[in-house]
Amino acid sequence: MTVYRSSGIASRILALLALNVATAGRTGAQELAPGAWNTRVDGAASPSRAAWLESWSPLRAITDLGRPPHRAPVPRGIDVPAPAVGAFLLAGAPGAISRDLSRGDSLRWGVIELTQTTERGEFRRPFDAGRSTLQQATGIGWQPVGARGLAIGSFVVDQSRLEPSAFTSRVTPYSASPFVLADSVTPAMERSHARLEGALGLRLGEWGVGLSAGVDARQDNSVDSPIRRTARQAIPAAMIGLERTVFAGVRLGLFGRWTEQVETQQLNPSPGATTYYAIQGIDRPVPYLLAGSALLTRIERRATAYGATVSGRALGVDATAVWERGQRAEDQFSAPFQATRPTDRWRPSGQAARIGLQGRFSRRGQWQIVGSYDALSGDAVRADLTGLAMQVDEHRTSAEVLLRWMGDRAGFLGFGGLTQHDRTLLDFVARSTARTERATPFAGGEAVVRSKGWRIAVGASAAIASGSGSLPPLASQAPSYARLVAPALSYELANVTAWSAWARAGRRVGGTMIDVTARFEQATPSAIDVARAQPAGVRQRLTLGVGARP
Amino acid sequence: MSVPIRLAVATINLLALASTSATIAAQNAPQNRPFIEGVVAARDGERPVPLATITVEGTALVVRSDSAGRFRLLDVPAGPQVVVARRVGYAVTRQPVLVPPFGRVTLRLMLAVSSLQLDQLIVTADRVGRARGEVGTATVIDRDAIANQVAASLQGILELVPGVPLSAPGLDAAQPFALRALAEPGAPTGAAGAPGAGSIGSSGTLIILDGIPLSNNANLQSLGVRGEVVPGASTAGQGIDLRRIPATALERVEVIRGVPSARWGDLTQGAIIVDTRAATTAPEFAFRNDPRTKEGNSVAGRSLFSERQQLTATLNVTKTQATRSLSNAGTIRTAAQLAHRGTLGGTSLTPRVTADSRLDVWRLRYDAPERVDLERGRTSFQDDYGVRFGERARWQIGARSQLEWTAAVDVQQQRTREQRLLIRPASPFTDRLVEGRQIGSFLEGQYLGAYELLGAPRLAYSRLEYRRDLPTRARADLATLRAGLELRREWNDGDGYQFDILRPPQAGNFNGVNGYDRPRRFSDLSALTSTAAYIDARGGSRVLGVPVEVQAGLRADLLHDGGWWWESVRSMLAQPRLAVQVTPRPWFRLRGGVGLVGKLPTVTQLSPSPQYFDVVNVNRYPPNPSERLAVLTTFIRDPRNATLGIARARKQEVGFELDGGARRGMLSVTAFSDAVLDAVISRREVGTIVRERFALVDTGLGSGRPGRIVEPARSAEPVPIFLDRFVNAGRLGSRGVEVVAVAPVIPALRTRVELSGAIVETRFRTDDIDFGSAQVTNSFQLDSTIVRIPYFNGRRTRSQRTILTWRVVHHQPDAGLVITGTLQQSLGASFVTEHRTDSVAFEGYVTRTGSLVPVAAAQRIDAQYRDLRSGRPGLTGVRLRRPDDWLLSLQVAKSIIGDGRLSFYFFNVLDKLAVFGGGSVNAVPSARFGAELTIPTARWWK
Repeated sequence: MTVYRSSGIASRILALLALNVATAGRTGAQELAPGAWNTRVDGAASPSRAAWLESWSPLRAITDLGRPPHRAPVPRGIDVPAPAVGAFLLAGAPGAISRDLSRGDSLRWGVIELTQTTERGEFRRPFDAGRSTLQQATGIGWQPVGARGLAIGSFVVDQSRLEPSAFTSRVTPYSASPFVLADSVTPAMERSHARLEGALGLRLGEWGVGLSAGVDARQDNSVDSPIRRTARQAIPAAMIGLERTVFAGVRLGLFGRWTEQVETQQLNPSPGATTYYAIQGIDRPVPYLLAGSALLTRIERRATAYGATVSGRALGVDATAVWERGQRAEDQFSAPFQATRPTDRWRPSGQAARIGLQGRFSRRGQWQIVGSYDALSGDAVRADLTGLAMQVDEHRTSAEVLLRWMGDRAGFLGFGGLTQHDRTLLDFVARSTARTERATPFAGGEAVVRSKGWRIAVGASAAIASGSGSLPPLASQAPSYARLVAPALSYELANVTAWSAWARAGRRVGGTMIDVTARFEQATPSAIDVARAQPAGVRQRLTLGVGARP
Repeated sequence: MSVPIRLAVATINLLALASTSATIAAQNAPQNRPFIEGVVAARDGERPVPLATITVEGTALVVRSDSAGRFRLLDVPAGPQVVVARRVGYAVTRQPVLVPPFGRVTLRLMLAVSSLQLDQLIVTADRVGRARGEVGTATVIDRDAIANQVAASLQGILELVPGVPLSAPGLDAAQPFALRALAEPGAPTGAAGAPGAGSIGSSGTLIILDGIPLSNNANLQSLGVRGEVVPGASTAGQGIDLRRIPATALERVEVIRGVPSARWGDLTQGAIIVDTRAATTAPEFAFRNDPRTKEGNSVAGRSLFSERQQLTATLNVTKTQATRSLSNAGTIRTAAQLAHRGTLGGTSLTPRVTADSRLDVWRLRYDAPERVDLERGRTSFQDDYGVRFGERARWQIGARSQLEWTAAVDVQQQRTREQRLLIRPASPFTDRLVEGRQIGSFLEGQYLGAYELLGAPRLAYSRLEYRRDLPTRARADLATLRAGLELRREWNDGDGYQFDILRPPQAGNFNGVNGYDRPRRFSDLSALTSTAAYIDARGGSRVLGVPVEVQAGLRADLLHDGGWWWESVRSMLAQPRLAVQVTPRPWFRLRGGVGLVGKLPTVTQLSPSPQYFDVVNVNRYPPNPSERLAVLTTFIRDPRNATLGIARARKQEVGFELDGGARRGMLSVTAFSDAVLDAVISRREVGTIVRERFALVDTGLGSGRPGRIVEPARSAEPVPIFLDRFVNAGRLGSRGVEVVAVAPVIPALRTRVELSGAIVETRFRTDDIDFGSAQVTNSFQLDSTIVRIPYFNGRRTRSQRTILTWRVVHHQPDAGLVITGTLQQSLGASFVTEHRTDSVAFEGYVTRTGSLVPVAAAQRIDAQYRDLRSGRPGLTGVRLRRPDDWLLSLQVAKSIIGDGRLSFYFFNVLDKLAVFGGGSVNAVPSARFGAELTIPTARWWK
């Protein structure tokens, strides 16, 4: 086995610096910039949202850390309500909704935004689209409900076109699961996606109770291709929680989560033919010729989690800690109407911890530290074999710091931090191991000036990822492995520099604040290792957006 | 005395009784009639709203609020009523109220800009509302519920009716709708394209748009029983394609599931009364987007010159695209309407003359262009558009009488074009259009088979109705008498069925005996002309202290021969109808109804296309094309049926209703039995023609000449043929139970749970004989060694299904939020063939000379009938049972910035895989999601 190790010093830097991160309009799955909030499985977010406005989502993945692409953080926090930490905002514990949001700058807030994002470039993995264009509408808002309640709601609706698309129609091909069904073509694809989530909380004396629920739906289909692909996914999720003040302002809370994620893919080669591959860990992808009849694949995922929270305030500092334990069952099968069907099974379990601290350094300044730790381990059983086929262990540690100061005419935001992500896959069938470690320090800032009714903000950020680990030697593998599996593994180990820059202008029209945003992002490897089929080139993304809020 | 006559006598007696009761009651009228008074206020700040119009639904009562928002409605009929308040710039408010026999009811009607902020918002079918002027069981769906229901067309709105399966919103496929009947697969007789349970049920469901019936009777966009390349989106022979009616244009829908009043005819299943939006309203725009469907809608109404002239305009453009991985097909609907109301005389609230004019323009265009990567040469195109002008003029005669004249002209154009690449073996072929023999040609190889159906359905409709409200008395809450005369004429002025006769699209049906349908003009067909007269009385009285409401009527439909009203009567049907409601307690009502209804045959059923039989006399096919010879004799048979008449149907229902209001919930149970007694179906009749065989001369190989026949014929033989003729011989029976249950509102959670559902069983049967599959009859025609084939008794089938729909509605008026979760269960869905299918199921046999020879049951096992004992072809042991299943849909509506409304919907949100609502067992049901944005502009104009 060949061992590769990067020379990045950054991998050993502890995370002490800031971030209030928000992902940009997504064009692919799992596009999550580094950060300690670790919010979503698919990163479908608006540029107007700060991470702390996303992490409450009941649709957050349970025991799945994802394998996001290289990106720099893209914050949007300086002209939205001041960020806050709390059990609801940090981990979605619904019992704390009312308390967390009523502490913010505004008791009632909302924004609707339209964006268009174009992404292209060759620095990508086999299951990332070649070029994509996305139009997206997003909205989020909260308001009091009655005297003791508070509700928050959020939506995302988007449509995108991928051309060329990826070698799979799987929505989240780079998840913790080692099973993916791929094929040999990359037809143009249209994707539609909608997400709706909301939470309602009540304060009943010393008690806080709440419920959050969400649904995410997606439909993809190929366009003008004789190899016809369709895929769809539905994710309902719900979360319930309660909280009680016990003593000295210290609050303890409990919560439970449930989600079910169903994905259906159909590959119809008629009148053409294609080859599809069962990607099973790091074993050689097995090719199957598909001609005449369609292949229907179903992935059914069920996950539950429970957790506890503790919050309090001391010495002018708000502190919150969250712990969560979850488990997931994931089945992939291709004969959904048969009583007994060969099934790929993925059974991970794991836990997560978050800690958030927040305080003020002047009348107008605020600081925030957020740290997170996620771990999962899972067993995989292949449909074509009996017994344990693979084991996966995964850990992710992050820390970030935010400094925010907002004056009457100007303000600034500074942030920085580090994310470290390790993943080990033991494939007992292939008799090999893939171990990847990736450390990503990041930093950035944004400044805003108000003048003559305008509000102008500019900012930039950067992240430098360095990887190390050991991969199976490529020389002994089949061509399909080199094409479909190896590039994704080496992508994890690549040393990559990612940066982003943005500008935003806003003005109040009537009673509504209108914002226009432009943002550019780029990621490129600093070195290319051809021997391990590492992707090369540049990946760029341009986002234009307009938003409105009262 | 026959049952209809008895019913008619009973009806007249009842009318007399009601009239007498009303007269007696009038003499004892007390002075303290019930009345409603109250205040209209705006929800934000509760300031009074002056000049709001307040009405009681279903009555002529109307008042305006004064400068302090106060109003008073006098002489309100006792019982459950719905008070409606309207004001430009505000959402319409409807408040259910239970009016006592005497005394006062005080209301506080709140108006809000967004209906989502109204406390009394009802977002599902109204549990108290009644169809106006009807006592029969009905489902009433008002504007708020329509706005909350994600639907592209009227079809989606009708999902609020008990027992209707949910479907993804869009214009994906044609949407005929059948009330209280299940659509079974296949037709009752063997001919493809013949009427079946589904088409009979949907064509018997009457759609009334703004008081004027829609009709599909002159829609001929079908190839009939011999069709090969059948247009997929046509609803010819079925009900109206509901895709043409946008949901966003609807103000109110009343679905009369029970016995409708005598005012309505040409129906067997029930009536759906649709009112489109027509009122003074600030411009409102709505947009909907999901992966398959894009929709835009606008509506605006304003007064012209004075408040006595109101003009409302709506425009809807919708496009549904097929999944582009499968096809590039798309359907575009454009619908626009201009509604004008003008009044003369009297006051603005109670004018002497009211004239409502409607101009509807719509277009439904389906286009599936060629996808060379999938199937070369295949295209499909259908373009239907139409203009309908309707006028309803009401003349108030004195305080209690009214004369109403309704007239409409509906002009449509339809163009269907289908093309496919056909591959045919060499077949003798003739293009002869009249009877006789001629030298034919050979049709062979691959060619593009294409045809066009150019239809132009027309409808002229007129109704004159006199209405008199009898004086209300102490014991008679309401009494109304209506009498009317209705004239209707439907015809098709289209160029008809056209194709290149040398490339016939139906040549696959040609077997050496059966011909193919020749081009024909629709404009040559006779018009469907009918006259109807009706009388209908509705009255309420107290019998032993219990309020009883009765609606009784008699309707007579006359179908004329020859296409004009002065021609002779071809068929007549008298239809007595009776509906009764008894209210022993204000919260307890019993309801029942019985009556006859009738459905007119369609233009194509009255004038089916001639059937061609092209018998091959000579078929000589040597390798050299110049030596080939085909001689064919063409026979033409007329399948018209002079005795075809109005299909008669019997409707019966009984039910009860417990209505405790929002606090105590509500339960309604209705059992029904509907039976179409002589539905129009296609009967296959056996006959014979003669095939002559000729000797040939000059036929030497290599001669280069085709040779010629020697006359006279060397021999002749009878050849059996099967003629498809429309007859009144089908029976479609549906029975079942409908349930609507509304649990009490949980105030703390602001949540309501509703259940609606229906158990429906539909039986279809005919006593006509059946000759089995086309394969058997084809062989019999061609192979003279087959001396006989079996025939069977009529087909009998049964479908069953239980649909339960659970709705959980959570409403937060403060946040302007409504969340509706809809879970629908399909239970016990099955389709059973009830006729015998075993090897001795045959009733007899048919000979080559066309004679039917019955065989006694005891003799069918005799050796001499061995050749007949092969089981019933194509139908052996049919019993389909769909697994029980369920699906869940979710809708969230929220008021947003600028008084707008943003709605999200997720159909089949859990992506259930199993089959639901039809289709094959392994079909993958659709999952659909999207968003809808409504932007009212009332605030912009303030």
